[in-house]
Amino acid sequence: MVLNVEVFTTLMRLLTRDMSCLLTERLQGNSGYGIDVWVTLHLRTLRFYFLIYLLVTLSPSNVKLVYGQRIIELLFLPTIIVNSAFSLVHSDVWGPTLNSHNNQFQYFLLFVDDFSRMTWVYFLKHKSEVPDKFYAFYQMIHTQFGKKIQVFRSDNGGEFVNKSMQEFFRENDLIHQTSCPNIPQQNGVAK
Amino acid sequence: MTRAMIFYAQVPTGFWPEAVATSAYLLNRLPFQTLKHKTPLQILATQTNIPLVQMLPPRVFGCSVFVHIPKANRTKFDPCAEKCVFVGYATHQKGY
Repeated sequence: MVLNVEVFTTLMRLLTRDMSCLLTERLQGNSGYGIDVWVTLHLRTLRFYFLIYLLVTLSPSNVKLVYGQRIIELLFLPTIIVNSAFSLVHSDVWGPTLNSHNNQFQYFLLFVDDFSRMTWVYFLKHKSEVPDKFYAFYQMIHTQFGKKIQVFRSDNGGEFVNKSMQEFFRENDLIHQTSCPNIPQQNGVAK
Repeated sequence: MTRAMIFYAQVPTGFWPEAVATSAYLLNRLPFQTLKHKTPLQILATQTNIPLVQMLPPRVFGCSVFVHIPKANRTKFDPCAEKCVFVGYATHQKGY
């Protein structure tokens, strides 16, 4: 797939916008963290921008990124980055489906363990069931495998970024990582 | 994988939850290249004590199966099995 100039400029605009948002937050001191905490919190984002920056600077001066999309895919090629089961769990929701005449299921919720690539599927009738199912999954892992999920990675969907989920993450000391907007490749394992 | 199963078996697409569950079951038992050609269940067993999972011989999604009818539910000249279609594996017990 050819990464033409329009796609490229859109990408760059998005990048600069997000980056300026982050920097503004930092400079205004709204975050209330030290610089080290801030860097840790946004490490994935910063690393991603750095890779894009390298990609842009190392490419020929006239924008000729014929294999640009492929390079972006290669940047997020699924690799196993943890060495313990359930340290990192990927998740995504699929749906709604168009035809569900014999049952009422509209969505399915997918959990993938990064270490073992073990997959669990939960079927949902509404997206609002996601917190319940996630809680059930968390309890199931704890009971059956004696492990606790440490890092939970998903996209920015409203089913993951909401009050009840965030409260659950805070109470159980889970780290929630979300992908950057418009870059679903960061959540590639679950996709 | 799910799409291929649904088309090959020529089942209505309304059976997608069964197909998705079946493909998840199979993917957990198929080797991955990123796992150095081991299956997710094998990798998981190295880290945790997984509950005993009975391995069943896999079946083709949508194939014809004959389900046994218990003796209590039939008389002498009734058929002892019923023809059905395979749509997946049981989640919490050994069975189809």
